[in-house]
Amino acid sequence: MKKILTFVLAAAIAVSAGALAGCKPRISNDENTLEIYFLNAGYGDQFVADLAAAFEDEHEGVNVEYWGDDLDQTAALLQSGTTNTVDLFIIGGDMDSYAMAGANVHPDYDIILENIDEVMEYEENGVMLKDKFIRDAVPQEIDGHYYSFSWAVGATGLIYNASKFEILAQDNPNIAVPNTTDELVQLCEDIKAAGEIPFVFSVSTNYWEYMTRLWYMQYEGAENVKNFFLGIDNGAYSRDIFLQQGRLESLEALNSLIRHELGNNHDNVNLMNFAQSQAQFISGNGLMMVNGDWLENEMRNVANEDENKFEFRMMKTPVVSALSEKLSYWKEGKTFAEATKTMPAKTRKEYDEKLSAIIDYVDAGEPEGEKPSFAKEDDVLIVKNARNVGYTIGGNHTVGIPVYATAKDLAKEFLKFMLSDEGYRIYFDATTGNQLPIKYDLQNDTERWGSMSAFAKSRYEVTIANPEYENLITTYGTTPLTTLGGLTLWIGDGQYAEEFFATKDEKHYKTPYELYRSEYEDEWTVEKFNLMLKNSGIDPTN
Amino acid sequence: MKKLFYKTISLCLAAGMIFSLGACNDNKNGGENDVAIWAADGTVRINRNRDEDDVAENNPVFRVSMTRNEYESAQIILTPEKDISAYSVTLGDLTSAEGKTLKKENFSVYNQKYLNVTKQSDGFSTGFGWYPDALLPMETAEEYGENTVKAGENQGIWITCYCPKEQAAGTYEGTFTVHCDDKDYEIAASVTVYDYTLTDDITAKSAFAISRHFLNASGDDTLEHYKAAYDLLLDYRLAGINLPTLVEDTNYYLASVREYYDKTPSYSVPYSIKYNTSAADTDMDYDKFKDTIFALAEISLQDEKNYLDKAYLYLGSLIDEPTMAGTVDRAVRISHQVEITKEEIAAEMESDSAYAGALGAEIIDAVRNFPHIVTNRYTDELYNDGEGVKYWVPLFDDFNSVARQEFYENSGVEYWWYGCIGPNNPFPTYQLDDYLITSRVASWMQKDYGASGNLYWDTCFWIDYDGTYNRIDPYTASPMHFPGDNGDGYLFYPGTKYGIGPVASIRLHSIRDGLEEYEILNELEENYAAKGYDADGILQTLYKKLYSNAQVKKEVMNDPSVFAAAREELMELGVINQTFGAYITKVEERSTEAEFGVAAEKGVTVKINGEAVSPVSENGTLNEYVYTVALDKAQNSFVLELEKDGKSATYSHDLGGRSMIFNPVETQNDLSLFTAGENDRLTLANASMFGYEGYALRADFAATTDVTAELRFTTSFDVLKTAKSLAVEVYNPSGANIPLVAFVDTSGEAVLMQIYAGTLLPGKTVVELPFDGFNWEKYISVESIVFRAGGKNESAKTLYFDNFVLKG
Repeated sequence: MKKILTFVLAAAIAVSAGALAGCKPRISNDENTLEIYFLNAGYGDQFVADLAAAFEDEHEGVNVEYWGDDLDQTAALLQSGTTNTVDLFIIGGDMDSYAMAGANVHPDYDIILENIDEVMEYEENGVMLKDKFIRDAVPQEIDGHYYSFSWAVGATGLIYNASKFEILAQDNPNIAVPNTTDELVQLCEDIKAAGEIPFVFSVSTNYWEYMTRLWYMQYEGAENVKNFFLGIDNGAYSRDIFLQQGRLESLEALNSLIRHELGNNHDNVNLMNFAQSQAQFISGNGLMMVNGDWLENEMRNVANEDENKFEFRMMKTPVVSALSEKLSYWKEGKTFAEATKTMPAKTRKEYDEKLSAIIDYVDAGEPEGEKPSFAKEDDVLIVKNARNVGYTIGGNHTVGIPVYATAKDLAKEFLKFMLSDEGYRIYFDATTGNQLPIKYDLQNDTERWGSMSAFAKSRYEVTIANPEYENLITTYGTTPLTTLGGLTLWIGDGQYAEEFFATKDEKHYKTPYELYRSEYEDEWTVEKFNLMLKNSGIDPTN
Repeated sequence: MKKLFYKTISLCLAAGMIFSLGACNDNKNGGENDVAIWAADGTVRINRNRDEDDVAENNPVFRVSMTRNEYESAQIILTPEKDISAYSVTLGDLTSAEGKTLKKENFSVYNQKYLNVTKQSDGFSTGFGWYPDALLPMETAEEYGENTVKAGENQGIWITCYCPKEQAAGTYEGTFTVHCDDKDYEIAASVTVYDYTLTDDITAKSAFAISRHFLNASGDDTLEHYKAAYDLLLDYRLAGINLPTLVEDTNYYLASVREYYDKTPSYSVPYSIKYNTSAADTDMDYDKFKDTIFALAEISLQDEKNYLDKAYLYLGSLIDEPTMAGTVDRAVRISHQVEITKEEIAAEMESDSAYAGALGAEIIDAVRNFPHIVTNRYTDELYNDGEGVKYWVPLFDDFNSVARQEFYENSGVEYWWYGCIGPNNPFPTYQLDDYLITSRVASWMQKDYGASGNLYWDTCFWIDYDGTYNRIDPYTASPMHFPGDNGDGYLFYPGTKYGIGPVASIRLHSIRDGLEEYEILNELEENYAAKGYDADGILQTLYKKLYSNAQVKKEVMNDPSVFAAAREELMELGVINQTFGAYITKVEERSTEAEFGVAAEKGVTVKINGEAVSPVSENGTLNEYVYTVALDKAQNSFVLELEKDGKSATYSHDLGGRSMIFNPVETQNDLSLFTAGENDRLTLANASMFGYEGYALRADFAATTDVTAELRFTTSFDVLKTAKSLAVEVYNPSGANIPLVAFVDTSGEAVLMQIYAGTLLPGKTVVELPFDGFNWEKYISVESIVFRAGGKNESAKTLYFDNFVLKG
């Protein structure tokens, strides 16, 4: 008998322990009433309200009702079948996982979601909606059908206080957006020398994992990221995937920035919750914070408009300096982490300056820049690929229609509307300049482009405006090992590396190498990995 | 994706598991209602929704095999063509060929009640459907008119036999009658009693919570109800966390300790919560704790009984699952303070002349080793360099590797384990939509891994929790009371609506069955140790048939005869030990033979595989024998026959099929089939470490950087298509454990596929690569077998490989 193992579904169900709690309004379940359940969190609820109102205006006789929370009751609602009246989910989760779970969600349905091929193949101005998505958000086909798409870009990165950077740069022009993580280390020194705090964050929210994932992807590249999620190392399904060097290098990079003894952190990173740390950042106490494109929306609740209003920008993520090891001029014969244990600081700086020069060349783009003489074409390609990698969480902000919904057709029409240019504009206006992950000539929409803050423009330029921008984890991260076997990049909640690095308690500190090895030795034992393969259907004896 | 439904296991023919119920010749009642009456053993669930495999023709005679003083169950299933408005069962005495009687009063009959699984459990589920769980006494079912069956549905009748201590060994037969409306069906019954008496002792500690506030959901929150629930669990060899008393009142508490000490395997010490101003956090009242320990010590001295040796502390409302709950600091602080307090108590006792004698020393020792159990796996943070948590209670799946098992076994202190809405199958569970057998095998694992106790978060969670608590009727509500797993949190049902005491579940029966087997295992360990032998050698051969690294084997879940065979062998081991003072002192499996050591009391005639054997040595009153079985037949076994004073017993150990040398690694020619990394060296070396003459392959692996040390064996492996497995002996000369993974390089897949994953302990390991069930159609042929040892960035290592053997 086949086992039924739906890890992603299980995770979703586990999250929804507060199933069906809280206020759900009484809503009519007729075919002309579209009921939407949505995630009411960082992006707020205004976009749903505005889309609903506009949709009603364009569809006489139609009523759109919506309700939301930050609990994610999706699993419970779907499992309750026709006893729930939600027609459309706009959630903070991966709706595709429910489609992949098949009949395991509800006994009466082979697949709990309605396929939305009709929506994806709908044409607006000669372009199919599925072709409107930016590279990073192209919807996934499951057995030849579409069931979901992302409704947020979810761009993440290192956000900085541009106003303060500008002021400090007057005395020290080195205070500028760094190209590499080593340059970021130096930037911290410069910031401290100027009497400011480099980083503010909360150890309890694990946002730094947005950066370590990026650095991992930069270092390993597409092929190795793909192999990780396929469970393949050195031609075999092997738990040695957890020994990919990029995992260690990303932790080393993080440790070089936020280790407590360096003094780069706000004094209360170990005490504050996320909201408090964000409030500190917005108030200028801490010049850099890992955050996401929803920041601006949340800032509205915090920023005092009368004073200390700073301009924030998302920087292009510094490339992990360990990438030097992959380039043709690396002469150390060992990994970056190993070599830099004993490497003279001068040598390390020389390597990093070369990397930085190639980054400048890549950023300038052809034919603007001049290729450094020491760089080979392969070096440029490696750096370019690293520069274009990004980490987004749009894949965890998705839509879906239950197959039993009474207003299925209406829900599809709503989705078509949402993905239209008009829908894009409504969403943009309601979320203070956030964008749906679809192509839209924003820079030629002078009114909207002009209304965008520096922050919004910066993240747009870093992400959507770059046609090469790609989250490799989104691209390669849905495999049988992740959906059925429970494979994650870091076990559970990513081990919260910042908690171990930024701790003031020496006993609590763990080195990057310790964290890196503990995944391999303690978490993913040979037996556990073998079980994971079997659960994923990779078992030659079955 | 196809819908998946649980397939009933209808063919339960294991030698020695279930009631022998010979169905009527044609299972027809003469025409008015065609009722199929068939049987199943007590290790499987038969769902109410009929499966196409549930046909009477597939279910011939069944039997129960058991020891004295044991409970064992089986089932009769009714599947009628038309509705049955009333059914009942009339039992009869069973008699043996020797004229002995097993009275019908030793049987209890239950009506199985079903719950509808409409949401599958997280992580694993055997599917949607109506699952049997509550066992309503048949007389109650009749009284309330619940002894009905709908057309086309299965209705299970659960029958439990208790074998009295004085019952003579032998096979007892007779008939039972099932009445279906106006038709009767006679069914042959057979119970085989082994010549072994199970102990009354319950050495497996447990802490199975009976939450008073959830008992209230039945409408009866009286202490009497709690006591009835506590006593019910004791009947199933389990202990509730709190004794059935007003634990807040020391006098009542002590009285209850006195009442239950001899009956319960373990009991908790009550505690009070107090605010710790310096820590600005909740804490325990250590003074109250001290007072309670001293009170227990005093009654111990009074009654000349060390009451403290079964006591433990579990601060469930203060520091439960601290890593997950984010209460690590609190757990460390309190755990450390408890240890300090224990030491203060012990020191005070040592200076008190009342504790001067042997009993006093025992009491003081019990105080020092008094376990404060914390539901968490080991972490450095919680351990805090020895100033934190000391007595671990990890989840079942924390034993998922040899390294983890050894870690806890070598910790030097008592540890327990638990399961709670996870882990899921193939780890054991108490969930409803899982294979029932895993809940029984859990106790075998517990013995194997040395966990002193088992904790369970609740046994009467008769509430539907969705963020708020909602009363439900557990007999009819969705079985997922707490989000996650069906059945989790409740093991018995309220009897209030029927005017009876608490109602047990099939799962509770299964747990008891496992705990009875635990005691047989425990007795063997103790008896072997008393004679200077280690029972682990022979017991490991049983454990390996059932599970590996806390994961129940697929074949055990899919075929009841696998467990039945292991259980039968266990009972035989018990018989030869208890009745004849015989021991299997050694089991050494080699490539083409297996060597056994046997010890038996002098005066016992010993035959092995039909041959009379002579002792090779003595051990006090025992003769010791050695016997080697060549694995050269299609089916090999070790059969020990003992006889003394007209009494005889047999112990059989299956050794599987033929073992044939595939590559002995003796010559350069043999060696030429192996390759390794360019910096590695492969040579032929003396095979003495394996206990053989001749040579073995010595692999000297260089230090690794970005690849793992690899040994590749390339030849034609076509012969594997008819073999069960390929085994190789591997010797690890280092003092460290080395992970070893074996892959197959096939022509049908570009990526190497794992076929074996394990850990090489120092010394010899027989690594067996399974090819039974290998998907030859998909993978076509095996080009090479690749061994990878250790990992990347590791120092040089040496391993020896010898005797690649085809098995089966």
